[in-house]
Amino acid sequence: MSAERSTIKERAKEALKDDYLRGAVKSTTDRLRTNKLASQEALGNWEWWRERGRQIRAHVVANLDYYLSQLAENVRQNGGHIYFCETGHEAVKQVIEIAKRVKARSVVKSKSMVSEELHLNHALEQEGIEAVETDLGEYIIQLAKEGPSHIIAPSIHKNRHQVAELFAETDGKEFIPSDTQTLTAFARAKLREKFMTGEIGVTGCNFAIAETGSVCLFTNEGNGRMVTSLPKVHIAIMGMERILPTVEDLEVMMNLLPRAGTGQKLTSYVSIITGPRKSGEVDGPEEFHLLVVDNGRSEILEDEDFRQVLHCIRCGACLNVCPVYRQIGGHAYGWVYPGPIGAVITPLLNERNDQYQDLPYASSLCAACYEACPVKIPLHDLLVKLRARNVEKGRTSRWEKLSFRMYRHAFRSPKRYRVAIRLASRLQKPFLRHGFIQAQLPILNGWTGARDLRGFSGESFRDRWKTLQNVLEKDKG
Amino acid sequence: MQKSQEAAFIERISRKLGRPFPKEKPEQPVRGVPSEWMPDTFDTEQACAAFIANWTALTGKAVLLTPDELSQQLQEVIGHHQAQQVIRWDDDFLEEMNIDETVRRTGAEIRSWKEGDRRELLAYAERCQVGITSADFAIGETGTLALFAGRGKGRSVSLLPPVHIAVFPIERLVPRMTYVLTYAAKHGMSSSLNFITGPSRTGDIEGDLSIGVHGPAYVYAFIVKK
Ligand code: SF4
Repeated sequence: MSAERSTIKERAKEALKDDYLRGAVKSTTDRLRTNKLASQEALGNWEWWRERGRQIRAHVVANLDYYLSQLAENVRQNGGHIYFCETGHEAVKQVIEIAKRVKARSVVKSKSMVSEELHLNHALEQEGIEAVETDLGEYIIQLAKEGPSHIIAPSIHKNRHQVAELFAETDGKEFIPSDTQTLTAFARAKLREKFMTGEIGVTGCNFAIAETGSVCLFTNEGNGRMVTSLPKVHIAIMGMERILPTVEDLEVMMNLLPRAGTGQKLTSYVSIITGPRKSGEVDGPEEFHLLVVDNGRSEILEDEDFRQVLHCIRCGACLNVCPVYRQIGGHAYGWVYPGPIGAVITPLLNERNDQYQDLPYASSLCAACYEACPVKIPLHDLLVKLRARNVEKGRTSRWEKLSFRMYRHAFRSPKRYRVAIRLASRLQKPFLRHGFIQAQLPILNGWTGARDLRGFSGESFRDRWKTLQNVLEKDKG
Repeated sequence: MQKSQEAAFIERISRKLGRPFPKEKPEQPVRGVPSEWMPDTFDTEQACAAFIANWTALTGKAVLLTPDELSQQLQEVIGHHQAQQVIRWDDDFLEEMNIDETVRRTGAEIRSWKEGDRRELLAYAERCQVGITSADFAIGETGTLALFAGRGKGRSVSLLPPVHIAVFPIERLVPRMTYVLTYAAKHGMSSSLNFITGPSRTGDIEGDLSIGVHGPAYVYAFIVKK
């Protein structure tokens, strides 16, 4: 993927050229957002629920060692197997080991963000094992050989004609009608075959429940149920933090996750899976394996501020409200997780990789993400903190620091601020495209060198400036 | 070997958390939903009305009926979908309601989910147009069915056929999820507990809502009141 080499700025520019992408991302995220508001109202005091959600997640993460060992005991008690994998590589090795032992030729997968971190499909294919994504959106992007661009709507960037073309190509046909019904029916028939013959079902895990040793999956299409009911072996892969103490706590998440993500009262299917099938049962897997993956997460635990990012329940709400995500779409974020959560977690999980350290700048720090987050993760604060950390580590260029200083000078007094704004808005005109300043203004050099600056709009920028200034003060102090 | 890898993993987490592994079970500051969410008594009829409203809003069909009406409705639905083959849970309530007899009256074949050859049973279920289950609970607040998998209660029956019909007595209605999760925690989890809220759906083609992508597109809840 070329996206992996470029900077967020280059990828964003690429995305901004794509009109369909921006239209689609906007209308889908708008719809998700409107539904969200309606369903939150139905629940009553949304703020109260958010706080409840936050408390539960904070408690688990602060006692993660205890809950993981409790989970392990109970998974074994139920007749399942559990593996602790420090790296993505170890997790992949484990899956392949199981696949080889049961002589699997085909793996059917239900959506799992963590398996994207591991490049699992690629690894399986290298072993000659077919890996089929079965969530419709994931299936589409797998055929297109792309990665997901939204946590819950992975193919949000593809239009129906592109989908019809992909499907036609897969089937060796010239043409397939592009109406929704035909396309869904096509996927249903194709994937049904895969469900019936796949030897292993691989799923993610929305939540694991420590007290019962269960894993819980939220899916709308039912593919999660298929891959945990039909194949002989079920392998669930979870990020090590995706855990809840009890099944009662799950109810709070059942209230929060669907409402925040898609605005549904409840996802069509919520499945709680506890071990392999029991004696007397005809369907369900003979073997149940749970992989607990660290892959950089434990590094995040040390710092109590950043620790909060592990409270995330991957609902996608922060993407839907983010003005930057809505402009540039998911691929511009360059790794598995897009949007505000991606801008925070990607640099943290890839601590040693300089390439992702520019992501915290892909934000306007408007805090809409925090407002949307069902477990109250202060993403905007964490973005500022990450920027500050970049400064500490000397990752920012000299130019950036200098232009920050010039800004501070310009904006210290209201009068100077007004003059500067007027000057800037006049100066920027010749450079303004799609409301972004894309050329290099000398005073903005350090700034636009790292990102396209939104055209000046006055107040909101001043607010934003205050925050940035704090960061710089800290840097100096 | 497995065990030591696990120990190292958990030790690392304790270290990163900056304290030793907790000696006792940590005290949860809050657990689940507040207790007033599950009063001892509730109005079943009310929960039933809420279920019907919510299930209908999700494009499902839900009706409260007598056993006689059930037989009529069932024949109608099976006729409407031109079902030739039907699979059902091996379940006491379904037996009591004489489901087999009703279905056969339409000319369709019906089999129940009994232990036997897995492959063959799955292949049959896959060919069926209709799957009939009962429901262990139905939840008013969200319009949700709770199905505990078990002997005779195959997961595939409510999943593989394009039409799913759930037949259950009104006594199984509860106002909210809390009752089901508390029950499950107390009585032990079944290998698979499925909450079903409407048909299988997707918005993955341009955000255009479409039903029946993998699971059933048509979902019926027949609530029986004797
Ligand atoms: S950070 Fe919050 S809003 Fe964003 S995906 Fe995670 S839980 Fe959802």
